[in-house]
Amino acid sequence: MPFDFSFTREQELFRRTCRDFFREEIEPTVERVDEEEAFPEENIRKIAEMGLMGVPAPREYGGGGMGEVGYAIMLEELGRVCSAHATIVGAHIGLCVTPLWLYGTEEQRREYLVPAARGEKLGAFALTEPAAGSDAGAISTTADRRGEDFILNGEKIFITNGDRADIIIVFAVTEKMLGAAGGITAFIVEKGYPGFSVGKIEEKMGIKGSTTAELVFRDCRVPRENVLGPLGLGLIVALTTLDGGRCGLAAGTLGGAQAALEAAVRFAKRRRRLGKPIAENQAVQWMLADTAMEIHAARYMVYHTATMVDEYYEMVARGERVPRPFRELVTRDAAMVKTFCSEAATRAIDRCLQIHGGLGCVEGFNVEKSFRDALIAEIYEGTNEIQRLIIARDVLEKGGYWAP
Amino acid sequence: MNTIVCVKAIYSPERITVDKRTGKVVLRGLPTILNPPDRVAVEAALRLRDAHGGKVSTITMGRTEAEDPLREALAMGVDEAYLLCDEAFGDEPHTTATLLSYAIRKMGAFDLILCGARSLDGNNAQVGPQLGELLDLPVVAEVGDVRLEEGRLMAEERLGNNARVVKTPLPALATLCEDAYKPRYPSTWGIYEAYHLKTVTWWSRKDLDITEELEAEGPPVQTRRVFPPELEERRQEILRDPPAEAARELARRILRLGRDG
Repeated sequence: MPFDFSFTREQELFRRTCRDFFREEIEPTVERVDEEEAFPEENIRKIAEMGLMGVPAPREYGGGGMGEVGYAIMLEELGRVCSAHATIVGAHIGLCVTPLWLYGTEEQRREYLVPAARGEKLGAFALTEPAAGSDAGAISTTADRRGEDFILNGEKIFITNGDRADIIIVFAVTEKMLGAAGGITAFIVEKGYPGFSVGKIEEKMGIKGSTTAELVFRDCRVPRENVLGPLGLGLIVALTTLDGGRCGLAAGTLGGAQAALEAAVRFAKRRRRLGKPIAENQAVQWMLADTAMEIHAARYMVYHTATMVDEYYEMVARGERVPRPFRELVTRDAAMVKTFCSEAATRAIDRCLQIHGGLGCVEGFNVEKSFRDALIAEIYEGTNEIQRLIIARDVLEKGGYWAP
Repeated sequence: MNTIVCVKAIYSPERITVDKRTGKVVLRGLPTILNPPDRVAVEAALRLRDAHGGKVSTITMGRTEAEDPLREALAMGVDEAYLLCDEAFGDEPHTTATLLSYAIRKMGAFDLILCGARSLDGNNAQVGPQLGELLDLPVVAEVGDVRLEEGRLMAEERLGNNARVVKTPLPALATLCEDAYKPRYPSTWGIYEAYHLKTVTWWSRKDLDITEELEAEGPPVQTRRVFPPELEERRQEILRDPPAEAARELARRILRLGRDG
């Protein structure tokens, strides 16, 4: 059996289209978006019109039908251009469109997935709380039954798109006694529900075009039919969603690493010091070589993991039982790809900045912006420390690196 | 309003490298794309369809990899695509135009044929006008805008710094300048449709009822040599002195040039 690892013609056309579109339509605006620290509404509208807000979801639900590989291609290309945009789109697709597709009932899919995948409505995912980030099982937002409905109370923080989203996947405790494993439930919350409000918007060092909001629930009534997935199994909804989300996030950082390498090469060839281009210096060449090697590894990891997530998600969406070894494999690989790629990207951008010297630190030169944008990828969607715990747990249990 | 757009697959100029030893362009492994002016012609056809209804078909003559640019046109919204592909087909402009004329007669009724004004690789700008002649159609070349008014085609011909609006009955043929319109990007949905729901019809020589012996005398145009033109050194200088002084200076320089050869 050959080890075929190539893109289809369709995927190649999709990549080329994404690259041209992002470069021509989005890239010229990214510096301004960063400066104004404003949500790039116009850009997101254009991205939605291109059908890019539902890339992996099936066509019958308004999606692009391109699966997780298509999703990774799109985020890799968007990540080349701007991490803030990749964050907005990644949170919408990876953390809202995906769980709606995986766990939504037919009615929920019609009502929420279709407009989200078409890009008519924006999505968010609200899990993190002031006292529960890495320790997601420790959330304290409650959802108490009142008749047929649920009443939500609590606060969520650091919610990407939180202030802009029409549809928010919210995780809350439905049965405290059962703990994280059986006591957390996922809900679909519409922004107009009484009792829901947006609190503080964070001011951040990077990804400034993406908004990060506090969400407040005060006796917010959510109808019974808006429970997403099985009652009490919200943590599974969250963790399954995050497996794919991490792979997409990794793809975005991979794009950022490539843009950094290309910028570094361009600069190193042009910049002359001591009578020759600095690209002729071994110290610079080694930095470029290291980045190229890491991109090479990252790229294979991303697309290999994406094909596995694809298979995994198809099973979940069909309501099939996923064999435990496969589920664990996807979780481990998603943790590895997220950690490796986000760190490879920060290293790539760090080297790119070093090659640019003082100019790398100057505003308006893009290197400085990329540097500020890159760091969050090692933190959000599960810190890299938590990812390493996931990987180590698997390695210890299996006795080493396990592959089927 | 049925429009046929003739397109060409070209190698993507983005990653072209030149073999340092032979001086030739390395084409192996390069992706093929839709010739950019042809993409503009596709856009023009789609705009006419959006405004007046009907169907847009696209056709190309090329090697097997020419299917990709056809899929690209389908992804933009074109309804159907034809690929003329045969080992026996040459790629010189007259042969191409002749084969396209056979295929288009076979495709059935149409109102308009649009082409890109030129291809970025061959740059002959021949196929469109020749095809028009072969099909006995009015031809408007190098246009910047096409519209439909009372069943006639209004086309804005580009003539250097000027433009001329031409009105012609249909069916007709027009070739589009690269900057006439900004072509739309294929959407994600369009790309999926192009590969899963739409088809590319392949025709070989035996599918076309070719009566002529096309290769009998060889193609009428043959490329003998490709070379960079020799550049003459030219200089220009504007004398900004007041007229009387400028004239004296000019006379001095001409005299000096005459003396120095």
